[in-house]
Amino acid sequence: MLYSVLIYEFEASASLLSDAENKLNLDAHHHFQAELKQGDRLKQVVRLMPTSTATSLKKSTIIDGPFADTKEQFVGFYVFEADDLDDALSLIKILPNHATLEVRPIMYYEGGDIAGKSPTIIRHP
Amino acid sequence: MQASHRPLSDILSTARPIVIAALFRYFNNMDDAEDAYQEACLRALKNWPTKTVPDNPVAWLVFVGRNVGIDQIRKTKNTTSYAILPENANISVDESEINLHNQIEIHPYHDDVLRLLFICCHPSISFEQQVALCLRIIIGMPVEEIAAAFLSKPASIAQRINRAKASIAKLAQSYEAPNAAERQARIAQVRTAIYLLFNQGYAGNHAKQHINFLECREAIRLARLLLQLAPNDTENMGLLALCLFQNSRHKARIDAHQAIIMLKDQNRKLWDKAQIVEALQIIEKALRKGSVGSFQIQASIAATHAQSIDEASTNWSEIIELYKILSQIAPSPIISLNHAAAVFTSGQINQALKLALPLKTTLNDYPYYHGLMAEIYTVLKNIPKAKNHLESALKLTKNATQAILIREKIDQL
Repeated sequence: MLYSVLIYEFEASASLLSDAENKLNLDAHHHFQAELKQGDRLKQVVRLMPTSTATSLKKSTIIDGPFADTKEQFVGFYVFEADDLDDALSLIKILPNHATLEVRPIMYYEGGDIAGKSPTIIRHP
Repeated sequence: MQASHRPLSDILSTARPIVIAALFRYFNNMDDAEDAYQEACLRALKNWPTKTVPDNPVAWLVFVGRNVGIDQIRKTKNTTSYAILPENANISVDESEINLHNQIEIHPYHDDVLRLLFICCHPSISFEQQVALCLRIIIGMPVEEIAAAFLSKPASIAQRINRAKASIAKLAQSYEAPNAAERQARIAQVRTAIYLLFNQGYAGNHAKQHINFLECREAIRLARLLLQLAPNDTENMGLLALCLFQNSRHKARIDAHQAIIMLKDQNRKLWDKAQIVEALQIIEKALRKGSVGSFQIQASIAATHAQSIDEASTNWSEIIELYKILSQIAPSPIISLNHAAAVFTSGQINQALKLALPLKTTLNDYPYYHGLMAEIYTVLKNIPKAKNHLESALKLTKNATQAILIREKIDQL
């Protein structure tokens, strides 16, 4: 079964993290990616630019900023293979725990199938 | 949050704006909030070295500061004062740690610091008072340093801050958050305050470079929150983009001796690409809306630098055009000086001299004015005048490394 894990963070506070704290987070992501690469379970890694750069369309009207004014912002997501929800939840335990993570099974997936090839590397600012 | 590997003074100064703002929300009084913060810091300095630094130093300081403050109010004022405290004032420490982040987020401003900035920028006090209050209360800048920044005496700055505090305390609406219309009116002042905070960190005192770097990050955090508050405000976009562009140069801007490296001499490979890319996206978004403001133009100037691999290949004519617009919508002697410097670098020496000469009246105490004049006269081979300006710059500079560089230039003439 394909799952996604959507990552939400309090974006403004993230800019206060020290280099050492950023490195800890990045290491956790690398650990997660390495773990999933065993058995070709990692399908996609996407890190979005901050919501400051977002533009939204509401009924074709252009609006500045992210679609929803939420307390935490959607910052990126993974697509990965897991046996079931239990498996998915146990895999994502490696990810940094300050973020809010939403696990969503994937209904349809096309393109960017990187199984067996070198996957996209996550780059933190 | 892992905090134990950082020095205590760092942890405390990083925490200051958030802790002060949270305490202010409890006590509705700036003096009480400051006293409580000071006492909490003293206790932290006493406790943390012997035990471990708490996982969330901000929550610890807020919790301790609030308890200290409650005790103090009980002792010094009559017991009815206790009623000013919110109903949830008695939550336990664990609960406080867990809830702190949520509390900050559920506030209408998403953030106590931003709320306090809006309060400090109350329209009933003068712009200078607003700035002094922001620097003193939120950043914790010593009165002496604020006085130096304002070219004023510490005593009169202290008086200015006290008067500002008093007039804010007297206001009928107390510290209630302004409504949407008032907020819009104040947002420009809040932007200026955030940019001052950023500049304080960016252009500040070298002895405290590391702390100042943290001030820059706090300013960027606030600029992000302000943009979230009004995401379609193009000047909010300009402010965030400008701070990001400048901050992206941080690693290239300081040499091994903590001295500042000028833009033209920086190793541009050290510029932080992630911040530049984000800032370029933001400014692109802002400019397509066609409502120009000074932060957007300053960000556009920074964007032109950010996209050039070195000084020679920089699009100086575009930068000069942007400075012309900027001098019209937000005239200031510093902007005129930067305009003249851009004209000089583009090779129009006489034009630069024409622009720089009238600045003597306003910038005679500013070392960079004399630096530019010396460069102009050196190119024009007027050595006595170049030397005079270098000597003035030497007298005015507060930076030892810069003084050495100026002396070298004098010797070379």
